[in-house]
Amino acid sequence: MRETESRLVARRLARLHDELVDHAVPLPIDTAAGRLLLEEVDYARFPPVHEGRIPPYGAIVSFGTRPQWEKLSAPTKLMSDDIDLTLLRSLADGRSSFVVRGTGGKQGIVIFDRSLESEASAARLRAETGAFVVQRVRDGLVRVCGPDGVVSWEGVEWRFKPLAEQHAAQVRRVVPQLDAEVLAGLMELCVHWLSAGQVGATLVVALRGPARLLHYLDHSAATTPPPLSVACRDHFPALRSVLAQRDRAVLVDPDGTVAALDVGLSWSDRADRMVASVGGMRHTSARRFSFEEPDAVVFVVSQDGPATVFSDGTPVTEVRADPCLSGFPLARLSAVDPDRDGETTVTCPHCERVLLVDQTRFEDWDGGPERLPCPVCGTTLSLDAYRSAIRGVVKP
Amino acid sequence: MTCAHLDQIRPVRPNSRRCEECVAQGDGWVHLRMCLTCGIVACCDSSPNRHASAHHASAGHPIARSVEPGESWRWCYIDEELV
Ligand SMILES: [Zn+2]
Ligand SMILES: [Zn+2]
Ligand SMILES: [Zn+2]
Repeated sequence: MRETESRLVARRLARLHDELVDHAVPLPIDTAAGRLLLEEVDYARFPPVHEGRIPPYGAIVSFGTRPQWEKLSAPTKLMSDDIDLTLLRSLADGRSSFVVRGTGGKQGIVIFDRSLESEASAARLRAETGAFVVQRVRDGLVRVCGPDGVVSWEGVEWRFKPLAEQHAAQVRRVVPQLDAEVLAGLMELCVHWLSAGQVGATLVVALRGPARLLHYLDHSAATTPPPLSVACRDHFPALRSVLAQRDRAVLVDPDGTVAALDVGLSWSDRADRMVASVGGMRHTSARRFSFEEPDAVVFVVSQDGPATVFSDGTPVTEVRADPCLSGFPLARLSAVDPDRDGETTVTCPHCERVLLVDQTRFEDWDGGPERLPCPVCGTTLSLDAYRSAIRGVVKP
Repeated sequence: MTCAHLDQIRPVRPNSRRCEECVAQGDGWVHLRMCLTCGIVACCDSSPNRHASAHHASAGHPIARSVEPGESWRWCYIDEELV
């Protein structure tokens, strides 16, 4: 019986392995520790059903030889190499209790005094431990937080969303004025708290002076909150709560302090003509407002998930969970920093914005220039290189 | 470890700005790589068809570079490292 069972498990793991490979799911399943990860994903996906109830589940898989006990700030940590894994797993609810495993065969259970069920908490736990966090949470969602991003299975397809911090680099290139901690906080808030919690939001961040002094704002319904900050993680639950009950924009000062809620955005007729309407109303207004206000950058989260950053009338980056295999243009960012030799600027003849461009050139390339639309006004630009990518507008 | 395949790099130029095999199949791609032995441009391993890896497997050409805008890193398929 036991032998049959282990053979079945082995066959199931092999099927899961092939499935993950076929769907280009970015998990390191072919490394030494990959086997552990595969076992935990398999268990999270097909836990034992008891009296018709499918239990939630959670595991922390360390890629070191032993679990990173010292990095886990939990009141209860029980190392139990001699306890049967099946029993250990039944103690792990994926919210506050987790099985912990390392490649050296070490295992145990860790119990927190708080829930770590949300994507935000799991991403934080991952960052603190450097381990993979595998969970089966509400509605059978299976989620793996790893160093590259969040892999999820909702019953139909495998999806992948890069970590917020990877997108911060894109923003930093065109908005170097933004404080690094404020940027990191905003990216985490937008991607792992608001987007993951299906909360739509618009956050306007001033780059130089007080946010209230920006010109294209309507303060008629504005309110002032207590001194909350987008650079302070402890404030995120409160910010998520207030944003879930608001439609208008939030103003943020250069140091991350939330200066006002319920602020309206406006723009001139010129912005109406120059900046095309793309996406929903929230996106179009953020984009047109950012065209008018080079001293601000706007973070927009739409209720259905994607988080976009607008600066000078262009989207600088968009973070979204894309299906792993089909058409995922932004899901995998380049792991390597851009080559400074390929960096140049081009001025759009129509909107007159100076654009930051990355290029790859070959001396004897004879395929002609590349034609790309200006990300602000849509005018076709002819760029004399083998390949070009416009990253955004250089701030005046 | 140093890559012993650098001598197979030729002064090539890209044959296209697209992954021609993907275009022929009507598929899309994520990033493009160019074979540094023959100049063929093909899609990366994050793309559904992984034509650049397939080219290495069939032609045996060891090193490809990224031709994404602003990227110039090179990858040896045999040593599995940046070279
Ligand atoms: Zn333009
Ligand atoms: Zn291809
Ligand atoms: Zn070749």
